Amino acid sequence: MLLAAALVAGACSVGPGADDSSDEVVTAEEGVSEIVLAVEQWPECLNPVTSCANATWLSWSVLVHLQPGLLEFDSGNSLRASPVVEEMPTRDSGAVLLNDDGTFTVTYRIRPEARWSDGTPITSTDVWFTWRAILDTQGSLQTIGYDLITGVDAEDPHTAVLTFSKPYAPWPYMFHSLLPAHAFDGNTDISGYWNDAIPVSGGPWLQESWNQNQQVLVPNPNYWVPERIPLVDRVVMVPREDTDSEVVALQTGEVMAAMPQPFPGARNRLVGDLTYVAGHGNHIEGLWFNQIAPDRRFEITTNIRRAVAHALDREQIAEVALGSIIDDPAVLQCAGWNPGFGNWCRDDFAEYVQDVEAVAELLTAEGWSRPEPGRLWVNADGKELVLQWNTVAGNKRREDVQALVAEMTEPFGIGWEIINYDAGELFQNRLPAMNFGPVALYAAPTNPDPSVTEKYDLNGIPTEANGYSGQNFMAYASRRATDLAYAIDEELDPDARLELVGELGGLLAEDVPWIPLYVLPNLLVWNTTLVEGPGEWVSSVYGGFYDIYDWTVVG
Amino acid sequence: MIRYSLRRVAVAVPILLAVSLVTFWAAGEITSPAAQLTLNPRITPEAKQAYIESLGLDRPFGVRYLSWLGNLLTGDLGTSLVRNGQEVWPFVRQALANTLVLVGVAVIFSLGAGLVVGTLSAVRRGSLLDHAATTVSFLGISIPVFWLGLMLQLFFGLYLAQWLGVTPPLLPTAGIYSPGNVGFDLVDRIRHLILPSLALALQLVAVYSRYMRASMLEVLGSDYIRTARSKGLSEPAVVVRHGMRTALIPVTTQAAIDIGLLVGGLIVTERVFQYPGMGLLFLDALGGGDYTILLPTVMIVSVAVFAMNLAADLLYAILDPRTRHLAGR
Repeated sequence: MLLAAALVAGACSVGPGADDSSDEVVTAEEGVSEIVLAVEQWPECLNPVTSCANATWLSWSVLVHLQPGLLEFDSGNSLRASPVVEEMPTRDSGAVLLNDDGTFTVTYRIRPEARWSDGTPITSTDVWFTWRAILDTQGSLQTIGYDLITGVDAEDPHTAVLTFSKPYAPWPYMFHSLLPAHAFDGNTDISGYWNDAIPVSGGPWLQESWNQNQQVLVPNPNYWVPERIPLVDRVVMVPREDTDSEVVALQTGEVMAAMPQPFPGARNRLVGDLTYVAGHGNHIEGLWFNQIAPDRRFEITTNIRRAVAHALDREQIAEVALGSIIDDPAVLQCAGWNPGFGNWCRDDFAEYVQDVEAVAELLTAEGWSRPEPGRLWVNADGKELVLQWNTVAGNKRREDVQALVAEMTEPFGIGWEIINYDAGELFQNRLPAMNFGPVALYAAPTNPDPSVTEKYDLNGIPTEANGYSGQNFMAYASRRATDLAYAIDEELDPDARLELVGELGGLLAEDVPWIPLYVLPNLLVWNTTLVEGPGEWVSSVYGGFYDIYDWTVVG
Repeated sequence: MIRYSLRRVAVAVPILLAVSLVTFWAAGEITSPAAQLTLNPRITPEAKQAYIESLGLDRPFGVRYLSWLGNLLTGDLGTSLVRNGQEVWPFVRQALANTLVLVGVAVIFSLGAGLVVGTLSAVRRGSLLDHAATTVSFLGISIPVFWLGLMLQLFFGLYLAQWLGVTPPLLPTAGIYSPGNVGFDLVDRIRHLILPSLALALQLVAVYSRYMRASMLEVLGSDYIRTARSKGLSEPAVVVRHGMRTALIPVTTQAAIDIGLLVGGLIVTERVFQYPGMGLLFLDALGGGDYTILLPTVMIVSVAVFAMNLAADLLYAILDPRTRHLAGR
């Protein structure tokens, strides 16, 4: 009986948040054009301010289609004015002002035709509300920059004036998801809202439904940008969290496009009706040194770090890591910036190629010696140059890299002790407590803004004294790097900022706090017999689905 | 029988408490919602700490555990850590219902098929049919479900449709409804059940047919079967009416135990087929560090295993009165 009851209950179940009340069966209607997309990591919840927003896929599958920003990125991740504002504020136009009292202001002029899906105009009150919601919402996490704003003048509905307590260069990277002030009953703590539905949109799409099994988007009838009016009647997104099944679903045509994580053998499997493009992803991977690793056998000096960099053939490493996924994977040549975002990343690390003489010079300068050519380097205390190396156990790409590097550095007299941990142990327990390494292989997220203060601030080294807070997991204690990182955050002039970034990049290449290897790619795969249009936004921070308004169903 | 059952329940209580304690500890050790924030450069250490405090994760282990246990005992599963305060129970309820459907269909099908194949194998021992059934059973037992699932997806989703010259897929390869479907659609729901239940059932059929064959062989050689034959009963009547009832005992109890284990979720099957049951819920909760969802899923498995073990014992006693007599001593 219990089983029978469950059969009935389960047969009827759709999932929490679903509209269970309807007895009517609704499937794709005749003549309705519909695009079906696979989402590899289904968001747990939709709130754009709380911890839900830490999930990249919330942005890619939901927010970028519904929430407009003041500024936005183009497909190459360069900033431009969004359809909400008249133009991008600049110092030349007087919209970005450094005031005599040390504060600075940014003025946005809002287009009168901009409106939410319910017809309410988008105004400066929405900018004010978004600022307050980010600061006032319980569980709001990404408050950096917003806490420097002292006020948003919303007197004129079509002009929003933001006042910062001090110059803040990353200002263009804020307010990328405006919230409609009228949709939250006057509460600026929005933690209780929009967890399983976003009822008001300011983007090309309107969310018709969302639950744990699917999301349905339909065109926003009040969208005011003619060139972004969707060409299909609706878009359905479904979770496909297993990459193999995701590819099968693409082959069978159950889904038309997907953005799977890069997987080995992609080039061989994505054939026939399937095609794909690879672009710059958001994560950069490399060898991160922990200079205060408890298990270090000797000090991890600059010379040792440079010697390791000179023992690596990074092109070969990139090929082994990504060669089965993309053609000619590029080596990352800067330690902090993503070449997919702006022009911040230079070729500072290009000097690091395999060079046995450079390794010998660097190590002998610190008293290391090599008894025989085939043996490891030994220091004055008789300790061999062996570095403990951690990464995520079971990650084939990383384990392949470890095996290759171990073999690669042997002729250079550098050895490795490989101890891998599961992701939870490495990232939850060991990394924040600086109990790893001295070498770890992992990927770090990047942002379009070149700010790297969190990474290189010497006050951000997690220690017992500061309760292990901070994200300088390299324990890279450079006053000059710290000063440069802060200067980058405060420099408002883009050219001067680029110069500072270049200076810091050069310093990092000298000090080698970590060795950059490659950018993890984004993949956008689609079935060419079913859908037309994908591909342009694969390298975008908005994800490859951003321009679905421009996609059409084949036939 | 009632006293026996009560005794078993009493023994189970401390075991379940121990399971909950170990799970609670392990969930905190393995993962945490805050772990996801470690590398995000847009999140300050202060914001991360405030988040940890807002979730109550900074409280001592014992306080958190007792608070959770107290709520559980009053039937309150609380709110999710990572789903921004949404109630846990609706997620668990839906996942449990979906898994029960899958397990129910797979077990019913595999029991039926397993009994027939096992009985025929035993009756025609050494025949071509027996050898074929044995080979297929061993294949079924040894093929990993993730591979079998993928092959079923490719065969029914792609290749078969291509061979037949129809538009693929012949059967949906994932989910519980077609994309875009809203509301209850029985036909669509059943179509989506076929491949995951087949992947599961093919393994269970192999197991049950082996059990049934071995049990049947033992029964067919017993004295009372010889007596039945000597009384002039037809062979089908001997096998079905006299042999199968006794031979069913170990298979039935094994099936009951299996159901208990399977209720916990078929992590691999549900992931391959994107079937939103307990296994997928468990994986999501584990990945997100959400112990508020992780714990109920583990506790439901524990309770289900215990309950179905008890049910297996009781069933055994009903089917074989000799064990009832022994249990009563």
